[in-house]
Amino acid sequence: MIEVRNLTKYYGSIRGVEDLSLKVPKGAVCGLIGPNGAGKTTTLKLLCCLLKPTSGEAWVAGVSIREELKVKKLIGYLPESQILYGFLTVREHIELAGRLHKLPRAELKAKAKALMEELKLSQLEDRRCGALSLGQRRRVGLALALIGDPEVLLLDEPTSGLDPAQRASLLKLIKAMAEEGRTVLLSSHVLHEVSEACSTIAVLREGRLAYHGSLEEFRERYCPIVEVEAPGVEKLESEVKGMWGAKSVKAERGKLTVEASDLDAARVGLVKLLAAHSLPVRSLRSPGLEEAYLKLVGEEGAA
Amino acid sequence: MRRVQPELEALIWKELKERKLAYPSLAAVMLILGAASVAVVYALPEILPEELRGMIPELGAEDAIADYFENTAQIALLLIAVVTSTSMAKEVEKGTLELLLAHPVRRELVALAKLTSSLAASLGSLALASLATWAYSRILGPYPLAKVLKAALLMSASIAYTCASSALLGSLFRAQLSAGASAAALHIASLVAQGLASGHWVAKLLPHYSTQMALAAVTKEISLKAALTPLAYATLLALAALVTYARRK
Repeated sequence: MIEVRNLTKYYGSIRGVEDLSLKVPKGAVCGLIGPNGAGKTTTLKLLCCLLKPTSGEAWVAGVSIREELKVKKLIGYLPESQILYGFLTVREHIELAGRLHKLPRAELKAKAKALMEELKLSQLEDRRCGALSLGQRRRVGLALALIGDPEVLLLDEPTSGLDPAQRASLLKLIKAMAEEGRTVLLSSHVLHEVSEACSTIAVLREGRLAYHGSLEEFRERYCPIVEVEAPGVEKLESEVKGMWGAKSVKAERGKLTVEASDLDAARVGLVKLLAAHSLPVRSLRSPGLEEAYLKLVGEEGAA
Repeated sequence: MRRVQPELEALIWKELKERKLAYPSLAAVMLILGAASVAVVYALPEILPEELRGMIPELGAEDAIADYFENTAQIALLLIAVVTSTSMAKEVEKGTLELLLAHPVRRELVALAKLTSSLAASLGSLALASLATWAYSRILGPYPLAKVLKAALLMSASIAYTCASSALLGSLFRAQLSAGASAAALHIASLVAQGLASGHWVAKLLPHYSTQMALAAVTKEISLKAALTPLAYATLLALAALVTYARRK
């Protein structure tokens, strides 16, 4: 698990993160989201001991980040900018990382082979890392993060540079790793990926934690809206007002948007109401993470 | 024998792979310096215009070997300074230091691997080139191998100092260009200071005293104690380089 308590990092007078506190339980995948410069990478670097905090404390799998070497044995870190040694082959690079984890030679060979197969790198094992595409380098980076069999994975923009098929397969892999009991903290700008892979999210804004909790609660708190599309549904506007704690109802031609305090009741109620009026439902949706995120971070997040 | 730490072994292996052009080039330069020194002495005075031939004394193996050590001090040590300092700074400039430090490895071990591999490659090149130069010099006449080895041992202390001081400079800079330029400038300044202090007691306290004595050892009987001052500098500077690298942000 990851526990962060009042963690603060200043770069001179510039705030990286301030008073950050969050908990990610064992086996959970937490998405770290926020606009550029919000402190996501700083948080990940603090947790993997690449930066020293100005104040505050954090524990990774129960070990304080002050104990640098112990923490590094427990984590796998995938940096945002996937820089590799261009003169090493894929296999040599993975083996170098394994040797830094003091893996016995036979175990290292077997593990490197298994990882290359899992990450579809087997055919590239003798290719120099300098000749790899961005997506391939990302996969090598993931292999480097996994070679030490980490309890905690810290992934900075893990899907950047990957094609849609690779993205889907990586998200599947992340979920599988969490099911094996690894704790994952990943930063991403791609919100639908976060909603797909993560059970909880932490939203950072200007270095401070703006929200930490479940995705459902986040949506309901920041964007408690149900949209229904059906021909003639606008006629129901007056009927819907005041139902399910509806705060506002907006009607357009063929579309009704309801902001309600009880979203589940609103969804069920709308379906029943439309059935009672024999109106065929074209779509019923609660706007996603993106709308809630934009509402929380505002213009800054959209930039 | 106690086995070195596996991570240090891995880091040294990485360094040797990374510098697989630089280190052989260093050996090649030193071999060429030795061969050129012998070739020039062999060709003299016939390569000079007739009117100049009588102006230079008759040269032999001793002169060729003295010339080789002088060129080594001026050219090879400069290359060693640049190669060592840039290898320290490169990791920071390219952003690959983070790649290593994300694994359970001490920062000072990364610096130690760089210093060790640079020192080993430089000393290996010196040993190879000194033996080769002695072998070439036999075409000019006999010269005792023991004297060449003694001069090489004194030069080794200068190499240790050059590697350590350049490693420290490389730890202070983030760009290879700044690191290499400052190491080259320091090397030239140290040699000039050593030359200016020559014959004065201060010379014994300067880091290139062993370089001066290596050159003298070709013609005179010189004690290996001359290596102690540069070795003391090398030890202190190497420790400073490790601490600086470990503490850098």
